[in-house]
Amino acid sequence: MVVNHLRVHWEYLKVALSTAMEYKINFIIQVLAMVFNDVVWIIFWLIFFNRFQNVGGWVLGDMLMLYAIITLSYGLSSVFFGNRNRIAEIVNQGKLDFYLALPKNVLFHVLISRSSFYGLGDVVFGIILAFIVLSLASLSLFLILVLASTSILLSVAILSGSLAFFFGNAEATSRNIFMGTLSLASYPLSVYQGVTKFILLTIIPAGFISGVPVELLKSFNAQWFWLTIGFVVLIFSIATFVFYRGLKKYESGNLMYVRT
Amino acid sequence: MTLTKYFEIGKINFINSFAYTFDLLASSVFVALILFIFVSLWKVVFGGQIMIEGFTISMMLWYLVMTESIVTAQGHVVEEIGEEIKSGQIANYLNKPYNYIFYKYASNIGNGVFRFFLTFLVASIVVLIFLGGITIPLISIIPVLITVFLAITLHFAMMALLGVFAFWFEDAKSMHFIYQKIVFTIGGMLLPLEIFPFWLERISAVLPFSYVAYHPAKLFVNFSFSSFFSVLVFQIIWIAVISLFIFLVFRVCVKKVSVNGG
Amino acid sequence: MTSIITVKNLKKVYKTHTRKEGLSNAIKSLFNRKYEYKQALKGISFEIEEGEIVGFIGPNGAGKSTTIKALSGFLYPTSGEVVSLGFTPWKDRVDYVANLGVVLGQKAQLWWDLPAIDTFYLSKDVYGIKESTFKSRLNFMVKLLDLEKVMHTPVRDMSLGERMKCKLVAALLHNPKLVLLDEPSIGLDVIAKDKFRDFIKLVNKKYKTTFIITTHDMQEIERLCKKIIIINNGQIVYDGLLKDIKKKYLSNKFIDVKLETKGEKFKLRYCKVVEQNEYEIKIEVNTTKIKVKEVINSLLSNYDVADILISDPPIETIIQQIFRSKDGKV
Repeated sequence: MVVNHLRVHWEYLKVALSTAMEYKINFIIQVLAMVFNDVVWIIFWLIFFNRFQNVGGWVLGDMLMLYAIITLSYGLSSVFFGNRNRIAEIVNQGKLDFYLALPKNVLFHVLISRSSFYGLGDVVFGIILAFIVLSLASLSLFLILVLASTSILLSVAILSGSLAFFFGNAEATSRNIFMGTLSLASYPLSVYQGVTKFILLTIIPAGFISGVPVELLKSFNAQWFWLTIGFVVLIFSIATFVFYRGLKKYESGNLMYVRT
Repeated sequence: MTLTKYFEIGKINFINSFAYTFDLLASSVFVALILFIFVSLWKVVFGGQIMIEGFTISMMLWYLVMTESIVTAQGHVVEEIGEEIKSGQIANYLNKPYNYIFYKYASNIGNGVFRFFLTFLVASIVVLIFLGGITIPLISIIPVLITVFLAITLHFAMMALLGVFAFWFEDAKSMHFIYQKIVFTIGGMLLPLEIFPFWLERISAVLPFSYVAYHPAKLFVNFSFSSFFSVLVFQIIWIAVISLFIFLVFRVCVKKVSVNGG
Repeated sequence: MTSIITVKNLKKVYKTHTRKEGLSNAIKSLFNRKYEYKQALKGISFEIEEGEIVGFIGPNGAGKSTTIKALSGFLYPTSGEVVSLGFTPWKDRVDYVANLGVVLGQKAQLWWDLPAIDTFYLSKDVYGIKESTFKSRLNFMVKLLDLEKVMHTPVRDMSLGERMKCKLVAALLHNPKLVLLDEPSIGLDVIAKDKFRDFIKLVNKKYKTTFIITTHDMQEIERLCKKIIIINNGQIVYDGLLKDIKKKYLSNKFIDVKLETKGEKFKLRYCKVVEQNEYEIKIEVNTTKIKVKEVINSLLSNYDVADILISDPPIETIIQQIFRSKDGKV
């Protein structure tokens, strides 16, 4: 069962790669634009830390680590689950029928049936950054944390995309929630305090996407590590639950909005 | 030539932009989020310090309110113009009794001014809630608004130039994206140039990008008539230079389009 | 014969809320929603046997696509029972659709930028089809439908007909026992339609595949279906053989006569002259009152007949007649 799903995933990746090759120039430009974006942000933080050295205990190295994690998890989720930000659109336009007609897990099938290969730019960039800032000893921890971060990002996408089941036209809102969470995760966790920090470790899980992993890589803390893993399991379960709840609604055919 | 018709086009677009309330609301929520993050960031960086590079924390954040408002004022000019030129749609404009670029400018500036004020309002609320206000001299309001207007114009001009270039370079979207990132950094949208290493500060200060974001925003939080006039002069010079480029490149474009039969 | 689908008292009520355009109305509707209930299916029952090609007919909004969706496993009905291929579609969806082929007329089911052959290979993995079976089935269909060359060009460059053929192949590769075709031939030209119909007939014969087709195209029904189900207002108004409904509703026949020499005006009881000119007469005969034989005899004795053609009225007329009759009941 699992093997079969993985095989299908692999086939979709192959198909997506050949699509990308159909538009070679666009593909290259998009990859370069992604890398350029990452480079600009690194320059921003170089300038910033060149002047301030320390932001609430975070130094340049920590920030680079954060970018290694965030570009990798963003890139990996674009490549392997390229439909993650199109759930709202798929639901809203009734395209789920296509997935329901096929004998596969619907959520999984939706997520994998597209792949944004320009995310490869982010992946490569993240790997290079990781090589620069990471010690070999923490490699396995780093990989686990990247996977955790990817899963949380994916869960946020599923949750925000599932809004379309309940509110109809939620494409823009869903995208903004995802990008907003990502933006919050792109700054040192140490800048957030009090209630904000609590929110970022609960309702808007930006803290677990990047901040907590960086702290863990700086100094390992078993309690926070297991908390992170637990959080991944929790949010992913919630996301799947909400999606299937929404799917029930979709299958009851009550999604139609009669506009007058 | 009468300017009235361009003014009318601008007015219509100003009114039209109310129609896109939802889209605008979404983008201003995003600006609010960025401001919230930067309030938190600067609070930590300032710590007990009163002033960094001549900026107090409230100057720093009101500076950001201003840069964000100007930069988000222009929508998708590059994509719009790029698409119209590439698809040959401009042929429809070429036989109208107005200049295509002026037409685009007039229709965008109305929109832009509206978006500027909306973003400014939302961003101000965030900063007022999480940090506090700023006192500016009453006399500076008109001059600052003038530089803001010119900044939005310059912003438009650079995007229009890229749009025209999209005739040769395929992907207008990516070009817009890259331009945006340049304004983010050396334009001084996120950080005032004073934070930069000295050499980079000097280079960035003379490039046109900083006349979109850094200079008008600096003027807003730290006004003086002498800097107002120098900003004004350089903005006009850059607008003139870039307009010249646009018209040169555009002429080549139009020739090609008409050769291809539109 | 065994039934492959049993539907018992299937009901579906949609609950929708109306909302006016605009942001303020959208916010208002968050707090004060007005719901509307729409009975799409008012308790329908039917059975379909293995190897049949069944036409599913009805005007827009009659409940056709709701039924098809329930049969596809996309839709939870409000109440009632469906057993299709031994499954309850919406409960055992994954196992069920593995034996099902669905072609949705206007929706994309192929990868736009890729040659169709890539989509076929994807189907192979999605359905877990064995390599050898896959190859032989693909070859069989590709040959029949003339897709050898076309399937290597990107779908975006295909014609509507080629796209439809490819969709059909993608839906049939896993040898489904049941295939649901929703408006399959919309937008196809006459030749493409013909090919498409022949193909379905052939697959039906060779693999005993059961087909359910919804369509507006009555010619398609006449060419393909022995059995039809007519649905109107969420209720089944006819379920039976096409020829039976014809017999029942065909109280009329058309007779076209071509003449060698000019004839006089035709007149006979229970006959209506639809059209007459110098060398041609078109007559509508009420067969409950007068035998066709009588009419022909009268024609032959009164005219210098070159050619006679007897035909049934088109099925459209019959269907319209049914819908127009009281309550739409047959």
